[in-house]
Amino acid sequence: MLKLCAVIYEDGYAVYTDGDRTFMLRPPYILKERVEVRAEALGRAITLHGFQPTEEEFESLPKLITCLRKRWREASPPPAREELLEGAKEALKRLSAQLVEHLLNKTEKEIASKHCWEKAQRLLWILLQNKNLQQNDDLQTRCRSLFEKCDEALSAERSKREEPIADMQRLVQAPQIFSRVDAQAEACKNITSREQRTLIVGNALLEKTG
Amino acid sequence: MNLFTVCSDNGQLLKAQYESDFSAEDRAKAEPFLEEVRERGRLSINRTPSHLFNILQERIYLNVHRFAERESVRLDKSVEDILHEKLKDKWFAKRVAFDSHFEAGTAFLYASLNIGNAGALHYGDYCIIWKRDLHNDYRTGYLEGDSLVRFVSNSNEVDEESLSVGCACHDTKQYLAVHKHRAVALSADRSLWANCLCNDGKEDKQDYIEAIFENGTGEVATSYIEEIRLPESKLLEYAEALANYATLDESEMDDFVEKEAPPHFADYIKISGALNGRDILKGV
Repeated sequence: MLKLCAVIYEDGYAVYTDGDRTFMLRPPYILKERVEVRAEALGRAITLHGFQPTEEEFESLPKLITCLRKRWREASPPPAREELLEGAKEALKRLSAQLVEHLLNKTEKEIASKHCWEKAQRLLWILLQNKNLQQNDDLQTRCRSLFEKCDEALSAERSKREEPIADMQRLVQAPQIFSRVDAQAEACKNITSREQRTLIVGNALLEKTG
Repeated sequence: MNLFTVCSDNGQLLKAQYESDFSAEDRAKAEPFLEEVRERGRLSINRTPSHLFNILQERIYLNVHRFAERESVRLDKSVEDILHEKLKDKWFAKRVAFDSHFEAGTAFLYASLNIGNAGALHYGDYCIIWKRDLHNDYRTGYLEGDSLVRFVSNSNEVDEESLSVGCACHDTKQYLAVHKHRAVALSADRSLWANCLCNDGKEDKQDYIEAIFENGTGEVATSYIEEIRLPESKLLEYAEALANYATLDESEMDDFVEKEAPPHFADYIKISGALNGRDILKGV
């Protein structure tokens, strides 16, 4: 039987005992995150680190984890999407220069390998508003140059996409053009016939009327 | 009993002991360690994301007694009942025994001595580091280990004798550290120092040097926070998740938070916002 001894439900953290062994557990509840600690860790968790003492028994670790996961979600539901997105953008604008550099390195690699220009450009646009980047000439230059690279790649992609469309448009318009030419030819034919003149198209003598 | 007087007296003894017990050669080897503790020594406390967010929002960190007083008003319960709920039988009795043994004990705030790592991570990834200036406004004492485990007996009596030889004041904390971690202090491998001094208390490790600070209020304002440390790997993980999330199509966002983002991703965003532009979140 496992005994849940202390928890912070809002964060999913827990201290439990299994016989005379004491463990600490936290999300994502994988083995790596389960650590055996000294028995005194329980007191330290409660008296120093704000864990709430509790006494609950569980038949198995999966049952304990299911319970913790459920209560964690109940106690700490994720914020609304708009709020989270806005917060994420603001957090990106506040990242340290070192983290911005890390993201630029990653973006550079990704656009080289995956050609995800549009996604990269969305990120770079936010990073250009980062205050630490704005105070760092090297980072700013690098970010702008990556942004422009994305821009060029996207323009090239757009042109490529538009080429077949232009061909299609030309094909679609062809019958109209031919019918206009036919109409004009007919008009010329009528005029030459009326005036009893010779119509020459290119080098060919088409018709001498009258 | 005045804890800080005891700490000051014993600190002087520890200094004298260091000068007599350590050979000149060992003192030369230990000097960089002493210097590190003297100069880089800060008080730290680890917090889980939700607790840190609350502290930042309220702009104040309360000790357990002040917390109980505040909650007693809010919930219309006695302070003792709240303390009891918060600490439960065994730890309630020990905490009350220790704090009530000293002058101004209910105003004590607890932390760990930290010289550069992210603290005791099992108790929370966010390690609050209090400014050095704190010591201008708060009296500080250091104990060689957990006050309740080392100095309070099972019958909840404070072991004055052990405590009086296992403590130091702010100016002499490095001598307490060098006595406790003699072998590591003499080692030239600096990378061992920070994790030896303050860690999670796993089976194979020592625990920590407990710091107690007090100015009569039982609370400390968040303006005293020098920085908040997170393991570098976590910080990178969050930064990458931010970059992914902010560039996703709307239809993919909920799924990302549910399945791909690191745990406490939303809390990290909230904390970043609650810092109000203070550039104090650091990876170590």
